[in-house]
Amino acid sequence: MTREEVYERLNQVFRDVFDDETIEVHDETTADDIDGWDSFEHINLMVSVEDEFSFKIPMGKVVEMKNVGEMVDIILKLGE
Amino acid sequence: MYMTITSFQFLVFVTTALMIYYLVPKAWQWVVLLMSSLFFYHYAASTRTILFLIISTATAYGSTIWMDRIREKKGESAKSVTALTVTALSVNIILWFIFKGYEFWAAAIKGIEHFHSTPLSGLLDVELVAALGMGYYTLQVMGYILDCSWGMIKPQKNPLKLFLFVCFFPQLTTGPISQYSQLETLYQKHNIRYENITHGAQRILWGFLKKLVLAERAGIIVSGITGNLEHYNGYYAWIAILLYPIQMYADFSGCMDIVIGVAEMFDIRLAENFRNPFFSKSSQEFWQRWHITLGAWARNYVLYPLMKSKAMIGFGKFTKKKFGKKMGKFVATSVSMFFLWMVIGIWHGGFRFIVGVSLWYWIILMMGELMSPLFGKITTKLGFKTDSFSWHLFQSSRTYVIYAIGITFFSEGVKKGLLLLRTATGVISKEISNPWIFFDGSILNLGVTWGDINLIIIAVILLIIVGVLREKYGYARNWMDKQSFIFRWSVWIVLFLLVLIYGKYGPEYHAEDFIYQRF
Amino acid sequence: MNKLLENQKFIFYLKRTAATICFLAVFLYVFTSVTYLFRGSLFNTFNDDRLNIVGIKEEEQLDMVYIGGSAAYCYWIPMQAWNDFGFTSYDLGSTSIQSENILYLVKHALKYQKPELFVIGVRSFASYSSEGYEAGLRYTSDSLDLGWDRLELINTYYKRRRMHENINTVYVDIIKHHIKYDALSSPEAWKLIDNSEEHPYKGYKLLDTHYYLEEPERFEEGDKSQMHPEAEDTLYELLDFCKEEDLNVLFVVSPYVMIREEAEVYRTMDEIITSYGFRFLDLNQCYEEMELDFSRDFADSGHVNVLGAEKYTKFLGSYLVENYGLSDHRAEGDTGWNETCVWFDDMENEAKASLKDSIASAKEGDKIAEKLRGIEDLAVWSDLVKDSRFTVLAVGDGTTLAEIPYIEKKALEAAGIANIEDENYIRALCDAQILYSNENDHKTERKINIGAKENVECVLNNEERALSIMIDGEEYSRKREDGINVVVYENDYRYVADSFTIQRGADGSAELIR
Repeated sequence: MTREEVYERLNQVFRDVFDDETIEVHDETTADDIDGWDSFEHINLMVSVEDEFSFKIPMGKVVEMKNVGEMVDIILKLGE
Repeated sequence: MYMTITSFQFLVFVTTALMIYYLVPKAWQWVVLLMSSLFFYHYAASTRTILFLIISTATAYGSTIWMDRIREKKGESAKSVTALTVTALSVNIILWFIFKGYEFWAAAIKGIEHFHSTPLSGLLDVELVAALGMGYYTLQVMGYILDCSWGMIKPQKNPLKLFLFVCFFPQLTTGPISQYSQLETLYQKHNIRYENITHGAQRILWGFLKKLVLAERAGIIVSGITGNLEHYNGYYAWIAILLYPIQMYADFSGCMDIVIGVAEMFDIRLAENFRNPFFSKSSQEFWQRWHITLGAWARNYVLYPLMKSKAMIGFGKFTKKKFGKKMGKFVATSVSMFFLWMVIGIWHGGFRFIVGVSLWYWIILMMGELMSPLFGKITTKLGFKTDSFSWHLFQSSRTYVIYAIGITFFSEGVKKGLLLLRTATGVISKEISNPWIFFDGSILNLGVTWGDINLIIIAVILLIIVGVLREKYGYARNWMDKQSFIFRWSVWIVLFLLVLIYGKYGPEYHAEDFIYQRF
Repeated sequence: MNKLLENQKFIFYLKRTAATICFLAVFLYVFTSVTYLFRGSLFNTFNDDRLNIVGIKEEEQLDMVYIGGSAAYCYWIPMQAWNDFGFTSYDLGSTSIQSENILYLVKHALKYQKPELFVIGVRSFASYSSEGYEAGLRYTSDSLDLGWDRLELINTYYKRRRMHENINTVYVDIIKHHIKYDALSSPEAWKLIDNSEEHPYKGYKLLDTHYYLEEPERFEEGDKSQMHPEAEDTLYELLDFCKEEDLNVLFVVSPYVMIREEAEVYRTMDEIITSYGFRFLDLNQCYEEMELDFSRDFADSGHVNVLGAEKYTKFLGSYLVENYGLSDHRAEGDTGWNETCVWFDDMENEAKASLKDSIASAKEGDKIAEKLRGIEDLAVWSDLVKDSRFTVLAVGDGTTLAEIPYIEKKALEAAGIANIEDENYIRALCDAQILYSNENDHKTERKINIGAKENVECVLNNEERALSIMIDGEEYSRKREDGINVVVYENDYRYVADSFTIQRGADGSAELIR
């Protein structure tokens, strides 16, 4: 997978979880940038990402993730 | 002689510990903290109960070291690590349940006895003395075990250092509930810094003001009313219900101030437990500002693992299929939240908390979620200016009242809480409605003077001012530091005099335990 | 460049240290002042003790300082000593003084004065108990300046005695007193915010009440008994200090109603004190020389009133001049003492006049009491007995008296004996005022305190077998089950003046049956 491919699929996940077709994420996007991305939606998002890329995000990473860029790094490392 | 955090002895103890702490070689500072914590434990609780802390620590130590070894040998092998984790957690949960879950299993036994007489009834008479701070350190230990099992941290190799993490005296009795990574600073070297000492001392003073001047005073009125609801009915019930959150907040956050201030003087940063909770616009935001560390713990160690579990994911998929995407998500969320809230309620150790905290807030938050699109439409239709201060005021008031209702069960139990609420609603009938009590001085019959009431009002105003400063500057002290020294000195001296003269302490008063010290 | 930076850093730290020290100084000053302010109402009464102890700071040269408890400051009149002998003195006293306090009051005096002589009253050593008396300690410790001496006193006291109060509240007395908000609105309390204020009569407390006492037992010769071990240690500590500081000290016991055990302790103390080269004077051996009259000169069994104090000061004063060579300063010009004396004179004369009146009144009461026994007429009796000098006690069954003539009932009511038809009748009356009546609570037994000082125990019992009126353990009622038993008690001289029963006579009217 390339980074762009990841972003293509990831954007869809975001749009799905937050019910907003206009969402576009990039490396610097954080929870403050998206309406409704609170600690509760965060875990929903994680679960959806896990589902989409068929892998399990380690618990440590779930809490420590600072921005979408880090998320993509993990996906590239562990996902399919 | 039981030492409590608001006692003179405690202040002397902290002063002495501080002097030793900054005089010994820095590599020994953590030992001073450990010794101080043991000393504190001896004078604050029944000494033999420290056995339970030792058991918890030993379980955590043993399991995490073992886990680490397994990992080194076999890589991230899941099964044995999981088994170890589950065992270690279970030991702690069982211990906690025996001593702190008394209300639950006692009720269970009574229920069984109702149908069938068994020897279990003998258990009801056993005298149980829980360890001090059992509710708090158990959560910390469990968090530590899980962090290790998830590979987020490396286990502590020194059992005594781990023990310090468990029994660190400022936070032992009332929290905040810390994560291991937040407290690794316990083992580091600390220089004496002017800011730590002064800010810590100021914070402690502030905490004393909240607890001894405000919380205790408000408490007199509240307990006076709730102690005699037949006489004090109608609007009195409103006073009790609406005053109790202030008492609760001043008591609990005042305690936090003292605890955090003490730790700060040792150059240890503890996490905040409160951030102007009554400025919240919604109940959801409220729980991000009230008892923050408990919410964070529940989220990290209950909610997230639960929602990431196969069972929950499967359930979510099922509900989405059955009820459609939006509704399905809502149902799945509700179930997860239910578990989360039940854990929080159970941790408080009583049925009253399950009603007043768990069920109440679960319903409120779920309803809020369900109704938010509808409410949104209404507010736009009616043209409410949702950006204005007045709207914020409305939202805060709403949050406050919701909390006030939930909290009636906190102090009084389910039956009495319901009675209190029913008494309050009684004002609808003209017979019971008694609004004149606000004007004719009958409140003075509760054992307070106009001076006391003025003090409560002044203290609340101070709290609001400090709260606003906090919102603006992160900490009120940041603003204070910029003011002239005459202003600052005057403020500290005046606050000190308020506590010294108007604080409810001394041989005429019983050393009131903090409300949150029972957990 | 580096030197300049270093300089700035140094200046910064210097500034900060100076600021911190300044702040701490201000803080301590405020804390001390608030502590002194709230001491204003010690134990809820404005007592003169604190004024005694802080007042010595405002005195100019004192020739003699008299230290002790109320056994000192009710006895020695500094103004009289000045008038008669010309030396200045001061009563540095503290209520219920504890033996340990004495040493620290001496130290306190030495901080502000260099007297030629100390007189120390030592009654407290004879009544020394292992059980601590918090108030006794606090009357001193809550009046002294915050400092090491005070700390030492509290430590010593807690070491020697069994105490229940947490020591921290004694060290930091604001912990106990801060709730007494009336200090904030009291001018006296505010005046004492610096813990220093002149005592208007040099520490003397004037008592103007009269308490009749019989001549007490004399204990001229006898055994010596062991002192309480801690009391002995305390005494040695005091004596050691006085010797070290090379002080002139006279140890005294002021006259009062003593008991044998105390006399025995004083003999032992005499030996110990003399062995240090100090003099010990037990003024209980000098009643005649002082012309002390126990029937007039006392306010209670432990303290003289102003009449007795006059005699005491006269006697002791000349003893001091003779034996300690205190010089006469009267010629040295106005020192303010003359003014104080003039002013005190007025007060003293007023008090003496009032005392003489009450003594006369008591004598009159005695005469009336003598007559009582001979009176048969109910009306005359009621009239006489309706008097604040008599306590009337009535116990019995008054059902048979329901039919007595109206006039007689009225006569009895005048004395306070009303509603006598009650089967269970208990009344205690004084000057027709009800001290106790079982009209409402229907009790059959009651304990009350009677007498001018309300310190005599009286038990009224109307139970069938036990019908009795007991005063101080002795039975005085006629124990007649039919009718009302009456006992008349004389309040000032404290004796039973009369005892009879009111019964229904053959002709239907009430009779006094003795």
